[in-house]
Amino acid sequence: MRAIRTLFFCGLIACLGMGCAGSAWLLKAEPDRGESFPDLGLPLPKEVAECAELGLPAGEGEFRLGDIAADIVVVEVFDMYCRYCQEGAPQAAELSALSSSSGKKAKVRMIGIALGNSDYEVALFKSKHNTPFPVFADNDGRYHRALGARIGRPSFYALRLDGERNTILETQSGLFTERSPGAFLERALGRAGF
Amino acid sequence: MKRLETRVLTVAAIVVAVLSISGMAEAGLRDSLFAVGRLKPIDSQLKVAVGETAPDFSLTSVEGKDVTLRKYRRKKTVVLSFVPAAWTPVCSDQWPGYDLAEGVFKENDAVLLGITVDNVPTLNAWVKAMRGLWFPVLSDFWPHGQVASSYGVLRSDGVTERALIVVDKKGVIRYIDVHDINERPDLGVLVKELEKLK
Repeated sequence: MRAIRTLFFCGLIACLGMGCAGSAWLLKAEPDRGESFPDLGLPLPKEVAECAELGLPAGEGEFRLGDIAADIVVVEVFDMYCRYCQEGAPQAAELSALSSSSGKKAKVRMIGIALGNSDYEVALFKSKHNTPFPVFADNDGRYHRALGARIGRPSFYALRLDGERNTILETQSGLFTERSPGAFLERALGRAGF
Repeated sequence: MKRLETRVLTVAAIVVAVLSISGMAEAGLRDSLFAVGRLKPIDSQLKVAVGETAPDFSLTSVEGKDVTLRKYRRKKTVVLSFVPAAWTPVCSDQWPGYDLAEGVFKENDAVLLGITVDNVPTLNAWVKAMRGLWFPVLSDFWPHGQVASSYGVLRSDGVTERALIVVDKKGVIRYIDVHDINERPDLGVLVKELEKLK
């Protein structure tokens, strides 16, 4: 009987270990804090106001994240079709407002990258949710491929624009349920030394 | 030793419960989906064409109502959205995405009818998991896939293609997109087609 109990005990511990390892492996598909965020080029915003917001020139062509005139860039990666991304739109707007108003500490700007969405779909999403920050359609799927398979949820990354690396300061996978967008931003600012 | 085991087991049970509850808070639909893998893009032969009268049908909605195509004649443009199966990844994105476009459909005097070959209880659970949809979701379960078959969008494995068919107010088919089953159709293309009918 004792042997069976011990066997069960060891099995349970092993299962817990494997479960945790499995979760970590699944999360590993997305870039994590301290890693580089892929900087693959995005189309210059069509709206002059958005160019001005990001400190980019107006016109055709692409820009790199490092071209944005800011110390920190918050990137929301989402899909306009996903329900959680739709429900998270107010949280993203709140984070954008906080980013814009954090000027005393550091210049922070926010953008969105919409995986698998067309320009029309991005425009519809922005119109429906009054999205206050520039959002870019990942038309050719380059970010989708670089960031790995994603399953119906928004992800937020705060990046320090430090040249080639664009180091990820803080991440949030999914909706802000256990902490606020403000706490996310404060953590990122703190990690950047602001 | 026995006391230590009991304590560890108790803590382990609590950890498992907490992890499960916190996971469920957001997991919901996405963790219930069945990954189908990469499928043959199109696996059927259309039986209708643009310019032809759309085959009429009457199907039961998730709400238990009979929805008949011809009742929309002279009233609304109808978009038929066939999707392969409930609880699959692309389908579970496509229809919630149309929630954002409700106003666009209305501006174009159009209704959207979602159709799958799943039965009503399955569709009911799926629609609830998607937090509801603004358009009727219809079951083409029995006789299995009869409506999909009449349009030529029933695949050899018994599910439908991912197809969009626009029927004008005269009951005439004006647009057909039998899409690669693995991909989501661009909403912008559909909206352009609806705008042509205004």
